[in-house]
Amino acid sequence: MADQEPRPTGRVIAHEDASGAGQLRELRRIGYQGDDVAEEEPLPEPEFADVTAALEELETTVAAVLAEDRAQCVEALAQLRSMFPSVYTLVAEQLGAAADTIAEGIAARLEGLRALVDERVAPHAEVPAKLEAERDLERRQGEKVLEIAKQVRELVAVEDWTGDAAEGYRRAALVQAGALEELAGVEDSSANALDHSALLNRAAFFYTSEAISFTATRVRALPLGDTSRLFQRSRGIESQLAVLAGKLSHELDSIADGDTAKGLATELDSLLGMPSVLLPTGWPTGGDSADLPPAPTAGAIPRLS
Amino acid sequence: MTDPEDVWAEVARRAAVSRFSGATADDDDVLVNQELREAQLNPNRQGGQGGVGGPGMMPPMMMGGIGAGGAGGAAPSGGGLGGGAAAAAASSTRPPQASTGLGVQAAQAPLAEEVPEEPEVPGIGGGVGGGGTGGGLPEGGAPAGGGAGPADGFSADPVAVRGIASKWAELAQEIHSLESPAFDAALGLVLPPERPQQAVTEQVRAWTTGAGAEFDALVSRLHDVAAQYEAVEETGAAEIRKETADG
Repeated sequence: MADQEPRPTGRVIAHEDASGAGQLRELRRIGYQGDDVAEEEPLPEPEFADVTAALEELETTVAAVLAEDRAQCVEALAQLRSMFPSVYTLVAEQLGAAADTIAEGIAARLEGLRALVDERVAPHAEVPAKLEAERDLERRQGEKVLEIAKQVRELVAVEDWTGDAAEGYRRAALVQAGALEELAGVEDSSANALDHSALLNRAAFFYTSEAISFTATRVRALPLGDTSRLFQRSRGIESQLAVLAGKLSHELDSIADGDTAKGLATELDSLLGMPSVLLPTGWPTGGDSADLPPAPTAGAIPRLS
Repeated sequence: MTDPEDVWAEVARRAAVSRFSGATADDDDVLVNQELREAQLNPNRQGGQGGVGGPGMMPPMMMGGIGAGGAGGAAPSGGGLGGGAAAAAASSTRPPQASTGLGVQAAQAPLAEEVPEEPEVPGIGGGVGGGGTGGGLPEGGAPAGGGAGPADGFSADPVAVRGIASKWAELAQEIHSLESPAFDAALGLVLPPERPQQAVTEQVRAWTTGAGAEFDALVSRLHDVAAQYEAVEETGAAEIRKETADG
């Protein structure tokens, strides 16, 4: 990513509302790369490594711009020395001090940015992959449970077995089938919830790396000042870094504790209250609830894509 | 089928196909009712009516007539295995009364004309006779009385019940083999769903464990029920043999 331009379309989506479910689905749909890129060429899922790469890109870019500003300053001082040798020393000292101050300010901004990433994003570097693995496990388990439920339904009717005992068995088997179907649905929805959370983490990686890359691009695009406005770009860098840090902090808060995350929590809370056959106190036994239709727990938390 | 040898042959035939009819549980969920066995062993239950023996009578689950198959393939309903009347090679033409408990009762079923009414066979509770004229137990498990018998009559194939138990055992193994969710309550950057996600995971884990336990229990109960059917059948056959021997 260090040598790439920011991905403009994806950036727009992320900047508008990185925590919005609709945007997340859209991000997943377009493969985090924008509508202008063919869907059959999806980029890899955003990783924390993208953030690290973007940060390094930004630091490299900033250092380059600072060096260019210093070079411009040296050139200007050389001209000054030839034209006004009496004031050269004084001006050189003042410009040097100013350059150091600007550089220190930029270094502090960069340090703050790296600290923000280290504290807010880096600890979760492995989380999406873990959640997706857990998602896949729960999804597979749900499919297995649903398959078992189908087999149980095939065992409900036993040929040549009639009477109350048979009816008791039939009802008990129906309860088990219904409970299994609800369990499969809960696991499916739980897997979807894990997917949502994984995607929110990836959205954070995506937004962070995109925002940093975007800032790097902005820094590169800062106009080189003339000799009357030395270190103009360097001053612009500090401003850009300050804006970036503020936006990042805000957006990370939005992803971590925004409406999407809260809505997901509400859906998960509701999920456990949905089953009609499964009991909150445990697995159902007997045939009392044989007449209850299984609750549609599958898809209660929808799949992202 | 007045010839005792014919009666025995009929009983043997039924045993061979592991199918009989008789009384049923009074609990509509016998598989879950852990008290069923005790109830079946309670001689004071309704099943004791009609020919229930006095002293030395057999456990109620052994009461009731074998098959209760009526003439012309009549119903299996009500007739529990081993009933005293069955010993007389009854050929019930009407389904017996409602019954309670596995293998209980069927005692009040009228006996066919060939059958001595209410034979007093010590230790046998109200059994309606075994295979009646025309084949006794219905093929295909007609529930009762030529398909229209009492609702609490039953027909059962112990072998089939054990087969079902085996299938449940296989499914139980599949459930036991399910991996437990490994979610460790960490959703990374996302905070609000952590607690409910953890709650869902724990509940799924508990349900899955419960499902495995219940499936195991169902397997056990099915085998118990099959064993009870088999015991009733064997007891009935023995009683008929005894009756036949007594002449």
